[in-house]
Amino acid sequence: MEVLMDYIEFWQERYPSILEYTWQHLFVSLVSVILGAVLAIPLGIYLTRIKSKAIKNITFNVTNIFQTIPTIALLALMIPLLGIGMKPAIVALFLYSLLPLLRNTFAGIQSVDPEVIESAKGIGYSPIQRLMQIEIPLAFPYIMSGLRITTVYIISWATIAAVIGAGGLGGMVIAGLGFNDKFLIFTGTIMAVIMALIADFLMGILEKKVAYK
Amino acid sequence: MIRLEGVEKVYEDGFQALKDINLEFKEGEINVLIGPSGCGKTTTMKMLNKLIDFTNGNIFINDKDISTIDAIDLRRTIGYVIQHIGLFPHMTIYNNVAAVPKLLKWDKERIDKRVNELLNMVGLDPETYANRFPSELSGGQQQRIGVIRALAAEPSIILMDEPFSALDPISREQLQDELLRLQKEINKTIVFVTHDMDEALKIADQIILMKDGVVEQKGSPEEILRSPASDFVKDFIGQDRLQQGNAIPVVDEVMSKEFVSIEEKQSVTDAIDLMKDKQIDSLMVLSNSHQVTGKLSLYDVINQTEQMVAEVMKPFEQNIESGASLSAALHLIKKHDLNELPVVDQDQQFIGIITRKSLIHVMSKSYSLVGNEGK
Repeated sequence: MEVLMDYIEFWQERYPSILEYTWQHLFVSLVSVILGAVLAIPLGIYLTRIKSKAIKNITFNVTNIFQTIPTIALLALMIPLLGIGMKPAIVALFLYSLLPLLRNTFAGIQSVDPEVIESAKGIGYSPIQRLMQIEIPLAFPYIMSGLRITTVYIISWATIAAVIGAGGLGGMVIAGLGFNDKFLIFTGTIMAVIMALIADFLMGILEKKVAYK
Repeated sequence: MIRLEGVEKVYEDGFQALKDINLEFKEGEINVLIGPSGCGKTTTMKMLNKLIDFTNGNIFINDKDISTIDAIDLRRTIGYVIQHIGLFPHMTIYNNVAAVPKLLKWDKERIDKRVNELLNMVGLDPETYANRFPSELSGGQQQRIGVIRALAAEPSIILMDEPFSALDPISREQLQDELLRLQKEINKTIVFVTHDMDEALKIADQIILMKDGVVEQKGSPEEILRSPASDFVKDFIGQDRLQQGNAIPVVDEVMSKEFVSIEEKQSVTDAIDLMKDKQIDSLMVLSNSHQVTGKLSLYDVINQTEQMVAEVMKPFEQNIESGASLSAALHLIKKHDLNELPVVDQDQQFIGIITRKSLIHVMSKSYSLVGNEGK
């Protein structure tokens, strides 16, 4: 009971900084995912348009490599290039977001029934109309679920980005470790979890809304 | 009208898919391209809306060379129905049917009217179906939508690529019937690809039979059935259908020319001996001029041994002329409850006789064929 009272007091004292950490976290995560989507989704679509297997393989392998570098190592690698702070964290997280977004977009467009494409072509859709009105809408559930998974991962990984000074909820956890403050560690963790859950929930609703029957 | 002149297709690897194709698809006719897989039938069809390009030759649609028409514009003026229906799963039935009119930027009112009209045409109530998605419809209903989507922008030409082959046999039959009924109303130039000879025979005005990239034979279903141009055509049509093509035989094919006969002037005793000898219960009676004039059965001769054949025989009262159809003969047989029906030529000369035995013979032949169809 006493712990709970203490914890409430902790919140009362710290809530402006908790909110600020949360906001930083959200900002870093969203910017990374949005940048990732802006690059990976068009790239994924482009890869379905080209015949060259080599380009596809290179693109997938490069993004795959980013994915396999341990998070902490990638963040550390950013320091000599971009220094510390939010910028290198966003770049690192952006690189992480590429593969799942690229994969899902590519798979989504590939999953469109060739017969549907054939009939769209045969009744006179131009290539761009086909893409915008047929292929992207049909691939949307895939793209959306890629976006959803990526967002949840990035929110989780953004916690680690605090080691290179990106701030966010990871900053609270690290500070908590330094001061041996259980409340700080717990709050940083629980806020990251809640943020991921809310993001997952909201995007799940969106996914259902845009999916056709 | 569509005209193909010396059209050839050679793929990059040197494979010649089509060799010197010369065809004409007349306005308002159903033209069926048929042949084994790889014969070039689908390739031929897809060249008409430029889904596949050709290497040599010319294709004219209403005397206009299609190489001068933009592919996308061309496709919007030609209806296209594919095998696996190819409805857009994320669009409602309304939007599927309205697809081409929308591409052509018709105004909303006109599209509404057209979609309703088309749905009614295939017996799907617009109120019920317009806002459903393709997955909520049965296969047969989906393909009806596929067909009316092709009709939506009132093209004069419709290409159909094995449109009914993925359906169950009952839906397939229904859709074939519906297509024939629709065609009477809409009168389009239809190019229809199939590998199903029954379908071709049922719906075609013109059948084009292809093999290895050449046209093996073209003509009306009757022409192809009557006079197949080669052994390949015969094989492809199949013996069963060739016989069904002559399905209702003329009486000449059914009548029997072999029968045991006796002359009018002989005695009944002779007749009885003859029946005993041949183990039969009736004889045909010949006149002096060797015309069959009647029949003598065992019942007629009982206790009549003193008389002449001419006195006890039953003269034939009905006959049928050579060249008449078997159904006419059957009608007579049923009407007069006959056991035999003589067949005569134009000069009323006797040439043969239809008996129950010869009828059964014909029936057993065609029914055993039907029974074997499944093999």
